[in-house]
Amino acid sequence: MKVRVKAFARFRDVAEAETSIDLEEGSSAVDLLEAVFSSHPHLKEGLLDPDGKVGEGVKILINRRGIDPSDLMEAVLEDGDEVALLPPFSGG
Amino acid sequence: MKRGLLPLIDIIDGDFSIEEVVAGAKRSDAGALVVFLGTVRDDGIVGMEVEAYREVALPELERIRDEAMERFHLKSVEVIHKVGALSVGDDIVVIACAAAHRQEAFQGCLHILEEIKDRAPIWKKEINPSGHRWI
Repeated sequence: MKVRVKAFARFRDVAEAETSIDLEEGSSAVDLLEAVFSSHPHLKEGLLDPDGKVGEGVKILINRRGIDPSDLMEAVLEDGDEVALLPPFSGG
Repeated sequence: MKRGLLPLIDIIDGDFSIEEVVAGAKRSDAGALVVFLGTVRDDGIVGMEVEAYREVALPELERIRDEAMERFHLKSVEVIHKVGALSVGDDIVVIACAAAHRQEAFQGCLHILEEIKDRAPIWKKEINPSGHRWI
């Protein structure tokens, strides 16, 4: 199955703005991140803190809805899903 | 940028008119109208680029408006946030809040600004002579 991954701002600087990742059926959001990190290792440094947890202020959206970092393992993706990787916001 | 029956909430790559925003936010039952204008500060930078995840940021701005209108009894709220390349001194965001009394208008406007900073997927990048920096 294919999952679209969008990266914004500083994450886009080290990855592509939008890419399509091939995953096995039943893959989780964690599986997706590992696949993305393997092709874009600098993204891992920006998205995760030194303990391997999602960094402060970083948000991950699945189909435009935020997901708690503790739920990433249980979040099973489907073909056509969109996952957005958002660095800490700085608007206003 | 089109005006409808609802107060205007928008993210635009272009300029806005503060006069139009003020005129749009005015209500006959509001005795106070507070406007916040965020601009590009000269911190030795050449310019700024603003980026948004528009499909998510726009509905989030609308939720922020709706929550603030109820919490602070606002009569009207208008928010326009720019994206794209900006120069020092350019406007970045305008927030206009109308309320019956000044306290509600001031508090509502500050609340909306802080919620935008916290909740709206919008990012600013400073362009300086030696490169750029996401802030």
